[in-house]
Amino acid sequence: MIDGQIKKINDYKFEIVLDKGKGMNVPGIIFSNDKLIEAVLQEETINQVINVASLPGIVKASYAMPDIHYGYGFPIGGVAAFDLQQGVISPGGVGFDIACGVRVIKTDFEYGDIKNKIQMLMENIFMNVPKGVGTKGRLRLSDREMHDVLLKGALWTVNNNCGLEENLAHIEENGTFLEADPAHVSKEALQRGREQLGSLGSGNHFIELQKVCEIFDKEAAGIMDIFENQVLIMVHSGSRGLGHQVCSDYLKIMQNASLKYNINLKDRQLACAPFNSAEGMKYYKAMGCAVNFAMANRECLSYWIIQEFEKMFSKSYKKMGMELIYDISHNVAKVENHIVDNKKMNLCVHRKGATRSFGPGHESIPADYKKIGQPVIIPGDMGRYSYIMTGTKKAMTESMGSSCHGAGRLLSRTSAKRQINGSELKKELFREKGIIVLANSMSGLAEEAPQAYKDIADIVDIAENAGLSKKVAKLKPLGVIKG
Amino acid sequence: MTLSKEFEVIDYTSDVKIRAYGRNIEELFENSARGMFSLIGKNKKFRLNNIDKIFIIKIKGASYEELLVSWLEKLLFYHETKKILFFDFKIISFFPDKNEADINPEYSLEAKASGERIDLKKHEILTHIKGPTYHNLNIIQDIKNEIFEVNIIFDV
Repeated sequence: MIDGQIKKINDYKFEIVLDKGKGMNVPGIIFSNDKLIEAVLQEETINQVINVASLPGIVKASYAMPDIHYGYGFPIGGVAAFDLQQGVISPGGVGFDIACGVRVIKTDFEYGDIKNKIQMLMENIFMNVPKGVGTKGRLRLSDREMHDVLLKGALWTVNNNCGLEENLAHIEENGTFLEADPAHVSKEALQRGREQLGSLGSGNHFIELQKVCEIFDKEAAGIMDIFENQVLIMVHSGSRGLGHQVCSDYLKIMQNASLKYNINLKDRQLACAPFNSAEGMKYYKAMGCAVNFAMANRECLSYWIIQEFEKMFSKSYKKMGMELIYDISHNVAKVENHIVDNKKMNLCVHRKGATRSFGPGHESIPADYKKIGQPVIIPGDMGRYSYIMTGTKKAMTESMGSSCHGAGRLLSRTSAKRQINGSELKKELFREKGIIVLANSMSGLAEEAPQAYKDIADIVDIAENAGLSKKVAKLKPLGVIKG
Repeated sequence: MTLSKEFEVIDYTSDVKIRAYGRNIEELFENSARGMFSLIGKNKKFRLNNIDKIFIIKIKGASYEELLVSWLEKLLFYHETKKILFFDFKIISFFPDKNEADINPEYSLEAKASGERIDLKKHEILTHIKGPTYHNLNIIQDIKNEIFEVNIIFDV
């Protein structure tokens, strides 16, 4: 432990004490427990939390979610809210994969109903849903169409036969980030996105067929129509090359802006501009375009997955009860209302590897979930499980309405590849757990091996005990597609 | 003098890090690109490449570091939009050279990158790189050995 610097507040909350000598404007808050905190403190993560705490206009604290780990610039699992007048916006606080996120689609099938068809279903999805570089895309958009996607988000897919209207209410912001303005997106970004709408990408992105293996909260599960042994589909993807290019473009712009506005940076990856400056507003609007692209992307992907179900079972998606439970983005900056020291404030909340976790009754939650809080979807590794949780009122005061976003890596990609053979892993997951894994790259698969990740059960337990979100259901993978 | 290695891949928990070397700044840029593409993809079987896609890249920047990031970004851009796996990199010209760097704030380079159109029968795509980061990005020169070196962290 770093002497005197870290204070244990309770069993699930640690504080990095405010130290003005280090340039901190606010303290750091880490949600963890005695078992995991040592690992957090051993990494350089603490410095990253402190660096974020030093940015101008940060409000209350620099937060670290239970899955915190060392990244570049902002830590992964970092949450920071900035005053709109005094504070900044930072592309590094969102990351390259803008609006990377997860969605879950429910079906009325029980595992036993489709057990024998999973292999073929997964193969069909693998063949027909584009994955990324080297595979053929299904859409190629004109300039005009790109403009519309960036402006309308998931709504565009509904008007263009690759999305479902009834899904929109179950996507954050109803599927459209209203402040988006394509005028601030570069030609290079448009070109990278043109053929990538409706493609999965690689790395930790996936399509999984899952089975509900445990229910923790019957009421919330009932409202989401989730039951034991039910088959669900989870999709994890983001804004693809378009978002990556928006991030690259604005990191460069912000290098100059930081100098222009005299912002002292401890790490160039933290480059930022005042939220209300020309540079800040342009980034916010360009980022909004990438958010729209990501939401449209996940809607396209799930539309095509649903089509494979329809072909396989010769039934309409409605007859199979296929509906979107919810779609969340876990790399994003958004203007939100929060109450700070009994005062209502408009803040720009950066979540980099953190999920919004609004509690019951919040105005941004769809009507049917108002009573239980926003669904919080936490994907785990491909061999163990994922979770559906709900947001809490406590999260509003504890973490700016935020919770964790995944398991967090344990092994680097290089050491995972050294220790694990992708083809062996694929066989082992099938032999020992009955999980069907399809992937283009076996070395990519090794990087994503379950052993390379922390046990997500530990992470969600901290999130629940710290009051950031509440467990609803635990899901086990049946079939996994990796890009 | 020969370089003992062009680049190495370094353990980094969340993302991917490479350390590239060069006897001069041109070679450092070439080896950084080599390192990045070693992460992106490879030929499935060892055989002579049929390198027929050639791109001339011209970029500007406010520092060597910014130029390095822009160079790698440009290669990623062509990799993704033109579906090219690059194998060979040659810096044609570099302004200013290191002796005038202090007096000239505008940096630029012209380079040639050659590769093949991606064909999954022939190539294996290993990692999708989202972008190079500025995190702890400093080009340093080992005065004794006259070797340039840089650590680059990529978001993957």
